[in-house]
Amino acid sequence: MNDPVLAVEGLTKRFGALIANEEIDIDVRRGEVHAVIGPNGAGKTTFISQLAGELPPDTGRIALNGRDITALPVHRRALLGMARSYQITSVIPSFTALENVAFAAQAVDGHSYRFWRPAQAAHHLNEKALAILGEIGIADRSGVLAKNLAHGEHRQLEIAMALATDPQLLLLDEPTAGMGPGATESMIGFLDTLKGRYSILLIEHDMDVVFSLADRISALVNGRRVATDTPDSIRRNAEVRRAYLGDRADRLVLPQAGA
Amino acid sequence: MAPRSFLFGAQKFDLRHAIMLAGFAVLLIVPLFGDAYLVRIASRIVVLSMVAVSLDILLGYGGLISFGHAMFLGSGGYVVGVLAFFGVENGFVAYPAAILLSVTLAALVGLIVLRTVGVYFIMITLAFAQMLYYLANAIRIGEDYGGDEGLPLSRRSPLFGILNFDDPAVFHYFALAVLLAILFVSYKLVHSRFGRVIEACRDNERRAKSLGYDTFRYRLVAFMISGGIAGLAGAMHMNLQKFVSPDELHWIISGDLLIMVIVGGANSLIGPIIGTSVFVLLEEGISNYTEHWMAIFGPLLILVVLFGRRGIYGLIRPRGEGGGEGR
Ligand SMILES: Nc1ncnc2c1ncn2[C@@H]1O[C@H](COP(=O)(O)OP(=O)(O)OP(=O)(O)O)[C@@H](O)[C@H]1O
Ligand SMILES: [Mg+2]
Repeated sequence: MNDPVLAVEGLTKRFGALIANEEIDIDVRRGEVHAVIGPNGAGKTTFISQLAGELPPDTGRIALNGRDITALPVHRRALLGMARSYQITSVIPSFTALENVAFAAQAVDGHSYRFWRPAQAAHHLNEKALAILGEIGIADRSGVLAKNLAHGEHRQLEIAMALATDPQLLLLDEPTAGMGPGATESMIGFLDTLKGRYSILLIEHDMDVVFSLADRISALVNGRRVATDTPDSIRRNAEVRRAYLGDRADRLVLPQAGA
Repeated sequence: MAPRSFLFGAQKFDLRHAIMLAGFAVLLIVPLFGDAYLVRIASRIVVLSMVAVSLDILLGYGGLISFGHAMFLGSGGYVVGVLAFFGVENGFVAYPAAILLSVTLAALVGLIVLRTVGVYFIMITLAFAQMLYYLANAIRIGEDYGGDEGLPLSRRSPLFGILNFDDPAVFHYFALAVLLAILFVSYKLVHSRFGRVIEACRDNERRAKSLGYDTFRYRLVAFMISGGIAGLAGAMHMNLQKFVSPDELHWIISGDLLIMVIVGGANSLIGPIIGTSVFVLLEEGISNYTEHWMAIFGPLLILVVLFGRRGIYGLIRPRGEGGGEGR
């Protein structure tokens, strides 16, 4: 608990005059689910893209397991144990579901300058991939080309690929985006099984998801982090209510009433 | 998950296999007719197919539309020509040297061009090949060698004392064996772990990176392998024609190669050979009647692109068979 998996200090990102992230400090403790909430355009995806290395921050510092990774390229961060899922599904469309996950597993199975043996013959990769697909509930779709999968299945495949890289830190950008209520519920159920096994930074719009999974919640408003606290305290936090919840205050009440 | 097939790797024999077998049989028996002109055409198909296959590794599997692949046809050819000029004829030196120099060229060019994508990649590969085209035009050796005169080859690079490559039939069979070897190696390559990375980069480079792949380096190696194969083909082409000139490097050749791959069917290895055959046969056949043979090939190209995204090979592929389709 003492050393966080991820420590972010003073992260700032500007797009021209727009300050998408302003002096954000956040840490993710080992084994916790740390949710980041915020209205559309609050800068959540921008934040995650900087953690993953796709966007260079203007200022600030990112440390993974105590190591400064601010200047490392995307693939190096991934190999250090950071895995990401995208808000807009990003898979390999011409690969089957199984091939997608096996390809992800291959990334951490030594280098891929292997030119002779068929990739399909790497049974340990296929078995690992199939096990993960089974865990997430789409093993029966393993032979289907990713481009032919349904939206919900894409979301699941996306997470399966992230898991196949044996990550320590999962960066999940709205894993339930665009899912129906039923699918969302089973995704929550699955994410719940990950709790404790991985350290997770979870971005989510859906308050049901956030309040049922998160150990801590940070609220982002206009690129600024306005609060970080336990779900209960966030619910009661006046600043969060005033600044972020506004029109969503009604939604916030729902899980509270249900809890 | 149906395994992808190579020649007879598929479970059932279908139209594709029949056509491939027939084509191979034709290439095999052509020399028996004793018509040097026919053998020459067949050898041209075989040698250009090697370049087309190498280009398909980049285009069909890597999604990298190289508009400068003629540069390797040229580099391979010039290595043979220059070595011969300095008295080194041995094929065991000339061919490896052609491959080595072409791989090196691909590494240097790739370091720059692979930093761009899409249209920029097309333009910058084109620019590099044109640069070499002008370079080849400018550099002369003495009075009669090099420059726009090109370089001659008095005798085809000998490999084994007993084989006389100046016999068109012997050279043809040699080329055919090399093509089969290239096909086999390419097949292994595109289905290997490395091949999987290359295809993933074509589909979604960003995702490959975020999974931990250094996509630039994998692409660079693919570019070098493709360049090496094309360089070997260039050396064979020089041997076939016993002549190399800057024309080998011209962008029109690069364009022709792209057309061969796309018409035949990218992302299949066999497609480029079909495309090359159709291209060379039409070129030889139609150009006897009209100089503007492209006026006939052009519409064919448009039809193929309109009706079969996977070229002629895609049209004869049995329905319902997927395979890695991208872009
Ligand atoms: N590449 C970019 N160039 C310019 N502006 C950008 C860029 N990416 C994001 N923005 C802007 O930065 C702000 C934050 O965007 P971001 O995508 O991080 O929000 P978000 O919190 O993920 O929103 P959502 O909930 O809709 O996913 C938005 O105003 C957006 O328009
Ligand atoms: Mg977002």
